[in-house]
Amino acid sequence: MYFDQIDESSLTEAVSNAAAPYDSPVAVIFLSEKHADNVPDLIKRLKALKVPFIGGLFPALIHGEKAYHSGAIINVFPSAHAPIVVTGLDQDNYTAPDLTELLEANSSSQATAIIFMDAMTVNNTALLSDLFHHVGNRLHFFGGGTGYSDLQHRPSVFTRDGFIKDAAVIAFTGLTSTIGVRHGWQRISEEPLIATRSHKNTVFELNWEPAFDIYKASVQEHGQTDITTGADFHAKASLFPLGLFREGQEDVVRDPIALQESGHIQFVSSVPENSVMHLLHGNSASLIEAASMAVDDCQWDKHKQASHCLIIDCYSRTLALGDAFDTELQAVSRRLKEHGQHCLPEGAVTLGEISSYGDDYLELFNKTVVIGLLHDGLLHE
Amino acid sequence: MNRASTNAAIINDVLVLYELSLAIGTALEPQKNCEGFLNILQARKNIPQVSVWVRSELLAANADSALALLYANPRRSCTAPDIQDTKHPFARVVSNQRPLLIEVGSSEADILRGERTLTGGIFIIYPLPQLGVLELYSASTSLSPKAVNQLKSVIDKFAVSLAGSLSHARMLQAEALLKQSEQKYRTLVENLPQRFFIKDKDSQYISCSKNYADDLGTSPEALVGRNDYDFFPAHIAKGYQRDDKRIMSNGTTEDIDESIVFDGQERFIHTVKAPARDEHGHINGVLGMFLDVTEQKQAREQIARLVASVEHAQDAIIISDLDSRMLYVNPAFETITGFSAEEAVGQYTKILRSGRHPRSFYVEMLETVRQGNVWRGEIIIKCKDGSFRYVERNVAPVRDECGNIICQVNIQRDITEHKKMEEQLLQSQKMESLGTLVGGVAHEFNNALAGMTGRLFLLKSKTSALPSARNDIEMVEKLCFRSADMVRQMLAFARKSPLQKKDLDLTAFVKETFKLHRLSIPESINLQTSFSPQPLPVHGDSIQIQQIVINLLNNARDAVGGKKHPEIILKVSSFTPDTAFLEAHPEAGGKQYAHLMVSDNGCGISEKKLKHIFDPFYTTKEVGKGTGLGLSMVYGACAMHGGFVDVVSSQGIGSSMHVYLPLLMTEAKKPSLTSRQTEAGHGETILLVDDEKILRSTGKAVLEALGYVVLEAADGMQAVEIFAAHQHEIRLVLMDVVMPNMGGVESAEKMHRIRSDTPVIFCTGYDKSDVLANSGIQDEMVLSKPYSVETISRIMRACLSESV
Repeated sequence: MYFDQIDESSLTEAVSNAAAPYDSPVAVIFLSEKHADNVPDLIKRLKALKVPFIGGLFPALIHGEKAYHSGAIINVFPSAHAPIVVTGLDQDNYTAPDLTELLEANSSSQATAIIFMDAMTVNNTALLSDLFHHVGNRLHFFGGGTGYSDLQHRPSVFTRDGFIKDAAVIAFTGLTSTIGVRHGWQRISEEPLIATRSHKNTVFELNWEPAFDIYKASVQEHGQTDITTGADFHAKASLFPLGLFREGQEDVVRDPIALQESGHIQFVSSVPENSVMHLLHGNSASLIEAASMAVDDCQWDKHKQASHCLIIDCYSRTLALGDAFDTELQAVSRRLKEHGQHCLPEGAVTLGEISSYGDDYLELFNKTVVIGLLHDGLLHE
Repeated sequence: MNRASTNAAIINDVLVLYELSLAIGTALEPQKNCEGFLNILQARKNIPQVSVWVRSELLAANADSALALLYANPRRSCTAPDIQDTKHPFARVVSNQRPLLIEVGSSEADILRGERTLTGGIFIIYPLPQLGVLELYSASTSLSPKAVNQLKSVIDKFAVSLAGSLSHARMLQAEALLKQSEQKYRTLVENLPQRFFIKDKDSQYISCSKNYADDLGTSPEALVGRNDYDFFPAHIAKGYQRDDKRIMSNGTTEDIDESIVFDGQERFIHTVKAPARDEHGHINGVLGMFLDVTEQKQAREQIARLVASVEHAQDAIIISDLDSRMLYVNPAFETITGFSAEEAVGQYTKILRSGRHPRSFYVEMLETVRQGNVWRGEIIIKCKDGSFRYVERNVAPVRDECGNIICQVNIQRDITEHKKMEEQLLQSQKMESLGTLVGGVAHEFNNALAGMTGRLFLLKSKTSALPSARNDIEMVEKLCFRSADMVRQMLAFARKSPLQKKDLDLTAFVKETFKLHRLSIPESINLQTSFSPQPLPVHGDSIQIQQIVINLLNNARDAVGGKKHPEIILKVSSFTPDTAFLEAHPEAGGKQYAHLMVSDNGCGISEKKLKHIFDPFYTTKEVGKGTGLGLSMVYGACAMHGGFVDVVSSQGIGSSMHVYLPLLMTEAKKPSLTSRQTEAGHGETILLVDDEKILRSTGKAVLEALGYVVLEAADGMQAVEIFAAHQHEIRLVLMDVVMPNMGGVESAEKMHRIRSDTPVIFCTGYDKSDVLANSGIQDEMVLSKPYSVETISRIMRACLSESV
């Protein structure tokens, strides 16, 4: 449910009401970046409720067919395990969570983990890799990168333990999920761009030459756009992301979000050294169509109603689509209805998208829309 | 597909293979090596699950299974595959060395699936040459054989890389084990106090422990290649090398003890040298281990000295555990207690308990030690033979290094003899005090009696017409002299009066005494006597012997009081000491004794009381019936006569008192008759000196009644003055001894200087042996108060006659 105003008392009352049906509830709060100052008081009130919760700050929120730049979206799920906080993601020696107990308790079903992760920290991809190494496809991951539209690194996730950065928060629900992931970005060149020297999110060289020089030349040649080193780097570069090959799927997008003075390019997610990438570009039609296809991908059983529809859409897509972003959301809602699902898609515009991609390898995506349907078949059949 | 897109697909495949190839061998550590390659493979080929199985021996894993899981993403735990079963897909791949595709849902896939929930997809098994297999699971079934073959070349390279990684890991592991092993031995060698070294065939050092190198003032590294001549004087080095050669020649291990002077101190070294052998058993050098045992040797010697001290100590030493069970006893313990070490060790110290102390005494002793304190005190112990001994005991706890009490040391000194001497000293001091008391009392008594006898003499002359009165006076006079005898006995008991011994026949004397005393014994008592037909001559003080007889008869009389058939036996006989007598009185050997026995069938004396019957003032009689001095006097008198007194008594049956006095080898002289008549004076002037006025006046009256003229002086000084003034008149001086201002002896000396021919007769109420000791005054010139008028008149007369 969406709240356009942040009135903490009404928020906490809503959480309390939504949690009432469950023996063991967990609240998931998508909060607009505009309300960062309200977070400490919100935490205090939520703690008083004694309902476990996780929350994240995002550039925008999605409720039905519209995006909002203020307010909050709150969803309450039956909890399968107490929320987990992973801190210290700016350090290589962070401690990955042990989910053995959770897996043992939910061995007969494929539970869903909803994860909010600081998009601006360096070990977010490594954490996902650790989580996948730990649990594989026995748990579905769904979520996105938290942060601010100005791409400045500030605290962006919160739990009862506080409002923190360089951290990830994970809530677990016993609801099963089906997830669709699409982006609609297309290769515009067969010329490979190989990350011949990189470290985590930063690419130093492409094709054995300074990364920016090669990227700029490639965009200029194949996108007829002049990428500059100025403040508008992201605005232009976001239209020309790079794609990592993935067998049988769309390329996995890597979004160049910043250019460092040395000519190194910083991406939202990590780019392994020697990765072979291609220059991508998209138009409104392909992106919107991809969103519709993501809805198609996550359909499970058209005779069963999902209890929740969560949508995670990349912030850079809003930049690329501009006013057409609402069209994408309308397309998603329409396609849901076509599939007989009555639930409203709710979620956020994020900085990086997380999905275990059905039964596939867990990835941190960029410039992608992830749609998840959460099912409790017995209640909504 | 057109040619352009075909080319693009090929280029894409090549690029993916390029990326995968570059992901191979990114880390040496096997798991990291797998992760580096397989993460890229999973991402690019959308492979959700991978597992790497390698030969168990490459991982030092459970050798029961041929393959072990090296890496899996996501991680998994599963049982090792049984590839002995040729139907197992892994067995087929290992055998054929070709990739194998198995669709989920098939029976083979079920073998691979295990616990995993898979709804579709495909397993692709790649051989890893020489290593094992790589298992991939893809959710998609659209993987083409071409794609599988494309990957094989990369995976083969991965296998080579992984083989290198595993080899490196094994090498690291072997190195670590080697290092660990070396460290283990190094730790052993470097931390032991012993010094170790290895020499080659030429006695050159190959290796040594650090402490050995330190001793030689070098380092283990610097020692290599050097020999003993580089560090020791030539004669010592030569000896060491001679030892080395002998040991290498004989092939035997030797223990060598030697002493060397190091830094000016003699040190004792124990060395073990053994031949060093190569892997074929051939001797190629010498191994040495030595230890400076100086401290141990000194400690052993110190212990030996301590042991000798303990073993030769005069005091009994017991080491016992906390429950007082004896762990060790020294020879002195055996001597003192009579228990041998074999008998004592293992027993509790309570075997020494005498029963003379209450239980609380022992509890307090043990508790003191348990609390970590030292207990000191005197205690009576019971020896093996049942005898008791006084010991001074010192019990101390012994603690271990942590301060815990582990045992106790009990040192006990036998003080039995010391105790006896202490008791004797106490008795002696008691008697000394008693003597002082008796001496003072005797003086007062004697003075009083002297006054009384004098007055009685005067009274007697005044009552010559009244025979009955004269008789009474004489009776009183007798009682006065008897009292004087009593005082003498008291002095005798207290050893304050020398005996006035003379030879007498004990048989006749006892008969006479018995005759006089018979009347004091009731007729109801059956009194039997037995006297030796032969005379039994003894040299003794008649008064004391008489008192012995009277005291014994009186005691017998009192003992049979209340008896239905009271009986007393008085017997005098000769006695030759037998063995039992000599055991009790060893000093009696070689002598014959007169034996006086008084026995009765009275109440007897209990064993407890028997110990005290000779104590002064100890009496069991009713108040007023006994002084408690009777048997003390008997005991003292016997001792002064060189005799003994023994008691045999049974409670309720009776008592026998046996007095033994040494027999004279010659017959006793018959007593001379003593004149009972007074000798009158003839008007001679007598100077009477006495500080007691009443005695002076009495004496003056008596002397005047005897016919003397009397001058009086109250002390020695006044006496000298009077004597000086009347030196030509005074014919004799009767001089008291102890007086204020000037005593009798000094006064007499001064008179003697004035006129030496005037006799002085000293009269004293004190024991004359006390007051006139070493005065040089003749015994016959000294009279003890009270004296009879007859005696003094005779002596005076004799003196006056001599001085004319």
